[in-house]
Amino acid sequence: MKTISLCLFVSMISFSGWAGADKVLPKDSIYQVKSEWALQSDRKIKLANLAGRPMLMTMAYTGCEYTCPLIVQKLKDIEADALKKGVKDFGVVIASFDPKVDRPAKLRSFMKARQITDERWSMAVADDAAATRELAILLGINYKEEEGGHFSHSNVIVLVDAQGRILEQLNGLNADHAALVGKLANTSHGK
Amino acid sequence: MRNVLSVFILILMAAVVRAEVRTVVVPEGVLRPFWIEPKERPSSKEKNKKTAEAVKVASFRSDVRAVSNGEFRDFLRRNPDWRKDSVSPLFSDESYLSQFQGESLKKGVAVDAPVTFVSWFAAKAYCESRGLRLPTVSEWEYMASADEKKADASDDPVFLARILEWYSQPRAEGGVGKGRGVRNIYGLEDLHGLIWEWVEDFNSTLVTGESREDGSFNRDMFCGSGSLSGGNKENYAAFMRFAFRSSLKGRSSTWNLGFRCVGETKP
Repeated sequence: MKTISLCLFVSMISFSGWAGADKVLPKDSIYQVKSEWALQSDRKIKLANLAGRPMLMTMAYTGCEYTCPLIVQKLKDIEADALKKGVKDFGVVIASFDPKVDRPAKLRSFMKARQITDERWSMAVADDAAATRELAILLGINYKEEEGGHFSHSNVIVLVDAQGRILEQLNGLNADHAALVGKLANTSHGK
Repeated sequence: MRNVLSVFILILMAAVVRAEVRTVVVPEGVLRPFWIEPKERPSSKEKNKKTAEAVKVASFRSDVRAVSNGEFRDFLRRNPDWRKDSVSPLFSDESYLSQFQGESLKKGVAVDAPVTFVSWFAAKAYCESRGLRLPTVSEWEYMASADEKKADASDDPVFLARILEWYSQPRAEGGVGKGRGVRNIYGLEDLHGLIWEWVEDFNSTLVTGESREDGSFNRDMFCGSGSLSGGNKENYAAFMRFAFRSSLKGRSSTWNLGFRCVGETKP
């Protein structure tokens, strides 16, 4: 049942999103990037398929023991604060640093372990390191693959509007996210 | 008839230029990067010995020269999306393609000089249009640690002094000129002394954000503390390259930053 609702959710975003609407996206939309990503549901998407509602985006990897759970927690805090303000129409995407290991099944089990069940959330992984690097550079995230399957990386949460334009970047996990929630509320109500 | 003949000769010449060796195979080897701390601390007796962890670099094919203004102009003609007037502000900054007017080079800009004022995104797109990619930091540093005679000159004071001397030179009037064609042992030209070059993972050198989370990263990769624990303390030039890279964003472009492409060993 869960799988069915996930599939439904994914097809919803790809249809409510502007399928094949590259031309409509503004020039400064990060969704201009053409790379392909797999969601935890196994469905392949382009970033443009995320268009249609504001998104909180970050990058992490499932093999991460320390900061990644904290990133998830930070995203949940932001989500809770947004919901408190009555803002519901947004998504949360965690893209993986690790295209070798973090295949969709791995993403699914990570989400299960972190009790991420809300359909608002998804995880995505690119096919290769180059596409991963490109997204990180767009989001302003630095990272390096270390030995033993680990990644050193900066913790950045990016808010983009419904068309993929960057509205706010939150650097570090202790940063105050009130301004980001404010902007999320604005863009969500404004559309 | 004469016209036809001269056109024919021109085409022939163009073909000869095309056939000129543009890429070489860089053999596999080992990079001893200064920024990686030795895994096992050397005993106090051997403290001053260089014990940098070696990074294996697999064989790859690389452009002999950095991509030229002329080559980039041809790319712009085929890919107008990358022209200054149509490129996304996400992929370019204010100085992007300062030496171009639309798809043409401005007057006085040398066709055979390396293209500069290009962003990482544009450099990547160019390489991909040839089925290639940008080199990684490791690949670039590996190529650049060779001099004319040996594969690893990274602890040769003369080699390092030469690079540092170039780094200390003020900006030449009129931007970057044509390369001097200094070839290292692999046949790669002008890795030093002409321009700085983009690498695919330039944003792996320094993590901004909270020091608590990124502590190990900063210590291993950057500046003061890194220089104390790093493997090759003499290679100050490499430190400067890392500092420079960490100052860049994907959309950055500067007068002396260009690129070359690499790919798999089979052309």
